[in-house]
Amino acid sequence: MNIPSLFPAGSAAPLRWLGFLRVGVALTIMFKIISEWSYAGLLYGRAGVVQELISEALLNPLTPALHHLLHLFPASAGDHWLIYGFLSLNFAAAVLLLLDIGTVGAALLCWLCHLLVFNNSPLTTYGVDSFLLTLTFYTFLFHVIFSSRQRRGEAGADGQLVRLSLGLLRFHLCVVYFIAGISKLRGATWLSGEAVWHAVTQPQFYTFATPLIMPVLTLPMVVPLLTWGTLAAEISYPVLIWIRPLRRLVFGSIILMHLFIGVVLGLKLFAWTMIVFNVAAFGTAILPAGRSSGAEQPVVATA
Amino acid sequence: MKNRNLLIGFLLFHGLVVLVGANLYHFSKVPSWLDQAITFYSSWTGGGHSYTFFSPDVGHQNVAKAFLLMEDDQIVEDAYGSGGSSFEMRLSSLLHSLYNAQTHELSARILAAHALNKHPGARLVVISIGKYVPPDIAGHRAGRAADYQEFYRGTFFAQAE
Repeated sequence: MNIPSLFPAGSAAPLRWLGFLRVGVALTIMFKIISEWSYAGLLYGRAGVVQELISEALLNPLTPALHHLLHLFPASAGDHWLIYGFLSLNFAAAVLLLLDIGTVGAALLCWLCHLLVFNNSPLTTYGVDSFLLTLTFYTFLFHVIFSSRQRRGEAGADGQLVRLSLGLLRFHLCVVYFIAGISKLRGATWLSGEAVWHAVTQPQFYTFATPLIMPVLTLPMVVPLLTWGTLAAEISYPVLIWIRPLRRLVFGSIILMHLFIGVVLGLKLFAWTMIVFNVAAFGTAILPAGRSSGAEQPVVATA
Repeated sequence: MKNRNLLIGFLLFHGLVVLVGANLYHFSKVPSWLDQAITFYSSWTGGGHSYTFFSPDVGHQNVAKAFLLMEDDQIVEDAYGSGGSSFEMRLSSLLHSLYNAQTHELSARILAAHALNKHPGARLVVISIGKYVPPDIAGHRAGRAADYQEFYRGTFFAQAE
């Protein structure tokens, strides 16, 4: 019996980036479910911390949410079992996605499950949820567009669709950083160079690294350099990432920024999700094995 | 070929929504139908979200405390939004919305319901919401402590259904 490889034999083909996206998204979903497992009833139950009555008032009626699904079952079934059943199904779909088994169906299930969770309680969502919705949607969409044979390099893929799909992923990421960067230019603490200090000293971001990094942050110019460095990295990303000699430097800077967010501020899942987005979008243009592949290279056109 | 053109059209359309939606709220006059359409589309696809993390300023963190009076007259205190667990992260998101003064009462009720559910023997709960103001770097070097500035306080009772 062949154990499926995470990155199929043909992953050095023009669709290698889609392998990064699939594996990254599957792992993100698994990490998220594991981290929320013990609080799932409180987060997603109809009588959870944000009760259904309140969430419903904030939702677009045409947008499905997890509690709509719960209503399909009799109350006697109990939210507890339904929610854990739902999360188990989502986890199983993520495992199948990771292993590239029944990938289109698994990607569809992952997208729909996250869609239901994302819209369930708008008051308690944060950046991870938004980006995971984006990435699960792209994972499903691109796996519909490109067949498994094309992804494995056994059949040619439509060059224009490959370039457009990868281009959309890259364009989206550039928009993210550009908007995040320019919106900070209106903030006094970003301009004065104090913003990173304000973030690190918040109780919600206190981690094991906080007492270690505080003595460094109190040294002259460290906080302003980190603050302005963040601004520079975000605003310049959409331009400099396209300049080949600077690409590794820009990519490395932004990954370092996310590692800082993950380790020092404790936003591990958010940092991981953004690293997945970056690696899927620009990894094939950065990583050594990707030099001979990626959308920059000719693709067999079969249309 | 027809499907291919449809796909190309959809990918281009999605990219356009990503661009427009990301900066939508910086335009002064956005028709409400466009706002609603993009919100609806983004709730399905993630395309059209705005990306204004930590902006325009990092600001001070809102935190909440619950003081529960138990049946034996003991006081139990809970704090929300200060831990690093996934649940606390999400509570922090909820508390972040408290910058809007109109949501103080609503959010306090949410926390009160949660606290009373967690401690079924409680007779009442006082919810205190405020912002945590740490010292600046110079203040930190001088050994100044952080300050808790309360901006909302409410008392709630459990009501039998």
